[in-house]
Amino acid sequence: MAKKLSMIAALTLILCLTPIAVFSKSPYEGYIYDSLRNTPESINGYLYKDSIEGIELNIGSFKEPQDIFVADDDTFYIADSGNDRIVHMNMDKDVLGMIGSEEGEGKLSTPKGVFVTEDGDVFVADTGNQRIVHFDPDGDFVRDFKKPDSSLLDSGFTFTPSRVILDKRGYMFIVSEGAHQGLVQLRPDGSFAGFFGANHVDFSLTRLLVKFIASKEQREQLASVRPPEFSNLFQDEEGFVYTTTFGIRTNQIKRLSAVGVDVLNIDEANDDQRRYGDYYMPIENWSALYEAFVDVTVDRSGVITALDQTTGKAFQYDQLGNLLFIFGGLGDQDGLFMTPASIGQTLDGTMYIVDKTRNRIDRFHTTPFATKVHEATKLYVEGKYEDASEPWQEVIRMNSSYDLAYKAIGKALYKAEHYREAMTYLKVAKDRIGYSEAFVEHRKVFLRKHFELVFAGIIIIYVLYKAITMWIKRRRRAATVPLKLDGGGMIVSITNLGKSALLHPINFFYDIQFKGKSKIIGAVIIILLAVAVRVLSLMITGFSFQTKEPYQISLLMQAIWIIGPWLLWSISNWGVSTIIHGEGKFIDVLSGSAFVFVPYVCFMLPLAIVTNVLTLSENLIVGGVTWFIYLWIAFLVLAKTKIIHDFDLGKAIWITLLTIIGMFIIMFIGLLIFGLVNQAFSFIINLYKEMSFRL
Amino acid sequence: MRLNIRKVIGYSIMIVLLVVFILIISQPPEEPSASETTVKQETKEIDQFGAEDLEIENDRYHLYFDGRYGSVHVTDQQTGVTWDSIPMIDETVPPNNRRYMSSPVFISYTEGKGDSQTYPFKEGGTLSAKLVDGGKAIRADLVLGKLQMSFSIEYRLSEEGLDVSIPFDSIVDGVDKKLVAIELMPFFEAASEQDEGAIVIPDGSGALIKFKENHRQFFYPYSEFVYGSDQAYQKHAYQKLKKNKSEILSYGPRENIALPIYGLYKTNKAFLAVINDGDEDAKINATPSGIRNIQLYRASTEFIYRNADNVFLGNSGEIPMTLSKMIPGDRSVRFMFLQDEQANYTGMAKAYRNYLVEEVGVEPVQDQDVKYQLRLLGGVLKDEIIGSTFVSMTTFNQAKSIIDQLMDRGIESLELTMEGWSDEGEFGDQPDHFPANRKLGGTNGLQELSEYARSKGIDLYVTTNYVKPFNKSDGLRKSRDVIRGLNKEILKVYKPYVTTKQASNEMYYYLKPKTVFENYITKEVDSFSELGLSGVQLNYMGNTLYSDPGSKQPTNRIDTLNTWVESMDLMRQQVGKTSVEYGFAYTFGHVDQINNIPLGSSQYFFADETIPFMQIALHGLIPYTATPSNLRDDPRIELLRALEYGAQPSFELTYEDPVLLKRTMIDDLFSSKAAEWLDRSVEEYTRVSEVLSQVSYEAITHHEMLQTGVYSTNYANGIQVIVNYNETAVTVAGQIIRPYDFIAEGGTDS
Repeated sequence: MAKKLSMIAALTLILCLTPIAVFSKSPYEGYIYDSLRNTPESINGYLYKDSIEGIELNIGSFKEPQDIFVADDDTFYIADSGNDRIVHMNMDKDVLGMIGSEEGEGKLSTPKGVFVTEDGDVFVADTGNQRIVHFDPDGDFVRDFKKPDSSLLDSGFTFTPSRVILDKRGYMFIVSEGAHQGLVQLRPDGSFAGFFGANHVDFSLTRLLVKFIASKEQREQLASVRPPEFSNLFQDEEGFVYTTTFGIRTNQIKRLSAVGVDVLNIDEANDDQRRYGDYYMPIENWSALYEAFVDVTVDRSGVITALDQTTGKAFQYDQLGNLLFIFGGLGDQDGLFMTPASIGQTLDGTMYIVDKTRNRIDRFHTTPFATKVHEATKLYVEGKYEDASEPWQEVIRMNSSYDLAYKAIGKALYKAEHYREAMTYLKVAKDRIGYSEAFVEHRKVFLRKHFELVFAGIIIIYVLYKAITMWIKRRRRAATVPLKLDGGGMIVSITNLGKSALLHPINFFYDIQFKGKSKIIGAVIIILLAVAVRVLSLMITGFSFQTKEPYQISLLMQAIWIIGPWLLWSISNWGVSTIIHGEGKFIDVLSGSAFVFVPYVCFMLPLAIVTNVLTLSENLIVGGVTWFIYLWIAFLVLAKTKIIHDFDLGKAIWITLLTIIGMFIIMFIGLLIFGLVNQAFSFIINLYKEMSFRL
Repeated sequence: MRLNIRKVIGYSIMIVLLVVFILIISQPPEEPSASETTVKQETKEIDQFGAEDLEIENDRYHLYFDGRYGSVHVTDQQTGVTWDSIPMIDETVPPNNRRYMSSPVFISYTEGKGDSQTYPFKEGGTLSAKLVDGGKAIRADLVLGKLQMSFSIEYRLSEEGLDVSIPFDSIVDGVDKKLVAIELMPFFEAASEQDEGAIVIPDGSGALIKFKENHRQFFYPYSEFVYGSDQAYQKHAYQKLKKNKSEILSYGPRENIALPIYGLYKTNKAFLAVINDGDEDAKINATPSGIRNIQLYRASTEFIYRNADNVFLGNSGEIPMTLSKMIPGDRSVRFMFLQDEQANYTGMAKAYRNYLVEEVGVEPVQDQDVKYQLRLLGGVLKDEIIGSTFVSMTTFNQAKSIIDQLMDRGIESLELTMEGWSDEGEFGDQPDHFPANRKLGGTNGLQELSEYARSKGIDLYVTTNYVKPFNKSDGLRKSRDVIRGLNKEILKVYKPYVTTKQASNEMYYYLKPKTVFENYITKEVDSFSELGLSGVQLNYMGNTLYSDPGSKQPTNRIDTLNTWVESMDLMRQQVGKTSVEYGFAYTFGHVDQINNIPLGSSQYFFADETIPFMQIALHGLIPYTATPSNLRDDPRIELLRALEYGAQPSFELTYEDPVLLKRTMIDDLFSSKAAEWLDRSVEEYTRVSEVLSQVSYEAITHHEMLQTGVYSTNYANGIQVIVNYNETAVTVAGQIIRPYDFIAEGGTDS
């Protein structure tokens, strides 16, 4: 039975001048993730407006409210769980009715969820009484649904409904606490229609191995891994069910079709795994916290807003999974929460977030920036790229760090066949894949336009190539003497060494065993060149192929990538070989190992230059060439081992394997020593600190 | 016998180590960490002091000192209204609370491991009172037997009301138990839930905690430090302090206490308390009804005598440490009593304004014309693979061209502040500011800009940072210049990540005030005056205060405060003008402008309304500007707020597109390109200055909420500004105000 309290409510409203919150500084800073997962500050999309508190409305304070449902007419229902009632209100804070506190069959006990059909029928997840209750639009009890009888449900199954929605047929989808089989589906008559949309347990090699190895008793003691549970659900106009799930790190939000298939997280590039929430979670006791999405709401254009209880923030995504806004947080200022439990929104875009511990519903309004972004993303998602460009340009004007805008404009330009401009925008947005696609088209256009130039260029290169080869042949005929390492000056001999390492590796490794200063200096120069080439090629690589940002490249780290393996290998190889009676001296091993980088030095840089005119679809070529170079280096390594130590092939392979193991052992020991020295150091420092206090 | 040298050395080292070892063991540690089990004594709590009843009076007021409780009752002799320092206590209140509520003070003390709060009746306290100062003051001597502490409180009457002070030489500290804080008259004029009115807390611009019968559940009281917490104490500077540096949690955006005031108003009666002495180490407490089961709303000030921090020593974990020496100085509060029309927050703010003018001697700033407040960013460093490059955002020549473009659009009154102008830009080698960056035009370029500005009648300021340098700055000497925390180590200040608010790797230091003044400020002031600038903005001096507890010569916050004020005076004298940000009260009278003044409160969920207390006190006295308009979250609302509070709009622009700032340390200038903002900003400035220029020298005489989302601000010359924050139009006195719009009435234009 609904109690009409509007008179009292109206009176209260006149007497109570609750101010609208006006912020000069929001308690949460606006930020957005760019494509590199940096977090530049951004304009806030949502700001705190005001709160709805039971106390102000003279219906008594809310007590642990847990769910809010916004009906089609923009009135909303609050599951006031602690007070065992459902409160029906409108946007003007008028109380339109209360359900569930009357004695009788309709008396509720800790109702945690509420859903209202188009016709106004109210369905309540009456958790304390373990049933779903159906009230008519006037708030009168119609019937309830208890645990269904079904052979499919085993006797141990507890029916504890916490959330419920109805689809157009009247089928109920129920989140039952503790049910890992999925959502409980009931037909309108209350019979069981099966489980819906279960989450899957991910495959884990460790688990498989453990199960394989463990004995029967041990297996019984292992915690059984259950599929993660649903926490909440939402139904959109087309009848798709959005779900939120605890305990998983990707695809925490799903959009389930009628047959339970997730149609939201379709992302080829990432294996159909999308991560929702903050990429960087707070750290507690040396490990990062897990997010816990407790609710989701979706507007008419498919924009998804999900609420994470761990960070207290709401995250808003468009239909394609692009992050639009982040707002909220935990704290004791208006705009922050203690325990956000549920989220809903009205047609005007106002967000309603229920705070379970603070017993109130906080409202957030959109900023002009959010309105503009919503306008742009709506057109974009509908495929109207050209039309979307204008609002996106305005978005960039308002906020130059909003990468999504650049990406969208880039795409629009691509569709409009302005490939060069598209590339500029996509580069700013760091959209490598999009850039590459645009580049493919741009290259075609470029080649077509400047065909004559390109053709002439190829001919010139061919002629030059022929000329150089002929010149080399002539010079080679002149030098009939085998490679002399001692004569002709340092530079000549080093170049000769390099040339020989490249073209005649077998001879080279024989020759290297002779004395000569040039070989050590040559080795060092090759190493330095290798480092330089590495850094340069990382810098010059075409945008589509870049894996690192220039500022992420540390000179030191790249040098270590070359010098580290070189030194480690040399030490390990010499050690292993000496034990197994190899003949190579350490100096020879060291310098010989350096020269295996010659192919790297010669070819990596040209390859990097070439990637500037290639696209991702030609990835195979680039990959192939790179692998060829690496194989060449591996061959050189093997040859070196064999020749310098004078092994036969079989032994050389065996030694190489041992050397690799040796490298790991050296690294392990190195780490150990490093740790010990660190400990000793910090002990001494702490001792000093403590002493300085007491003296 | 030939002595074996090696043996001799060996034995002597052994002996030395042995001696050192014995010394370490025998020396008691400096901080008393006596963890003796406290024997449970029979706490005989007494109900009354039994001191003499005394009276004093002046022309207006009459003070009655009740010797039973050490309470004071001040009556206005003309109107008969009385202000009481303890409330009427109901019979139903349990004895513990009754003694608690009738205490003249609360005392916090420590035995080395954390604080305990108590009151005299609980500690066997005795109170004796006598008339001093030729019968003009009452001195109450309080002896707390169990704590072995004693101190005196003096009460005097003034023209506005009551002055209460604690003379420092009267304080005798305990032997094992050391004094941490004294909270004066905690229940002064405490209000019941039935009273109509509110507590005024100085949170940002000001906030109200209203008295209500049906109130929300309050979990804890408001208790914040005046002028922000002492930043040298990490326990207070951060929300959560942890050993793992990556887990240190900072506070999110919130306001600080800029004014050392608090008060409350009821129907027809109010008081405003201003901390006269000891404001640099004090807290304002406001306790709503329900805490400790006491159904009263109350506010008070708590004077801090010792600060404490949690220190991490090696693997020993978290150790609480307290400052060993008390913070010296007399403490005093002035209570100003207000009645009838003055008994509301506007009246209280006006009383504070009078205090500033009469007592502190703040003179109105000469030049308070409304100007187009332009801030330009010069440049900042960007890390590259090898080294770093300087990203130039606005050269001095480009600044000139922006000035020209603005003047072409009709702006006559302009003020320019250059940021990030020194050698390595915004986070460069401060506190070493010279030379000016070459790419921007060098010191010569800056001088030319200054001359150009002068010729056009434009004020040119530059920003300086003598307080919080970036840790990679080459301009300082770490061991000599940086403050140290209680653990005697150089204090590291971490900037939090915007996502988790936990510490990132971006690190800053705080500079020792005396050192920075002698070695940097005095040395550079001539360079500034030679440039011909109009003024200097002293960053951080208006909103950051810290002590230096760990250096060889430790200093207190008062020393830092004095150095900041000295710097402002020096710059004013030698260069021309100074400005600060935010505006802590000690800067009043020493600055010509306050930038980024708080235009709101932290909006703690236990407070009810934000009020422009600070603005009512300052408008017409010191000009202040709002946060840059191009960096607003919601321009409609924030423009109205700036207008409602009488703040001049400002714009933080760059010549170049801010997209160039990606990957630099400046990531919050999301929209600043001058070309895009010129027309918009001129439009806003023209619209706002139309109103504000009519009132720029006037005081605010009244402020109130007319309807939900509609506020009115009245000025001394009769002008009234009404703002409407609603999404719908409203009607006020027959006039329609459109949504997100305002009207200005009265004065010459209607």
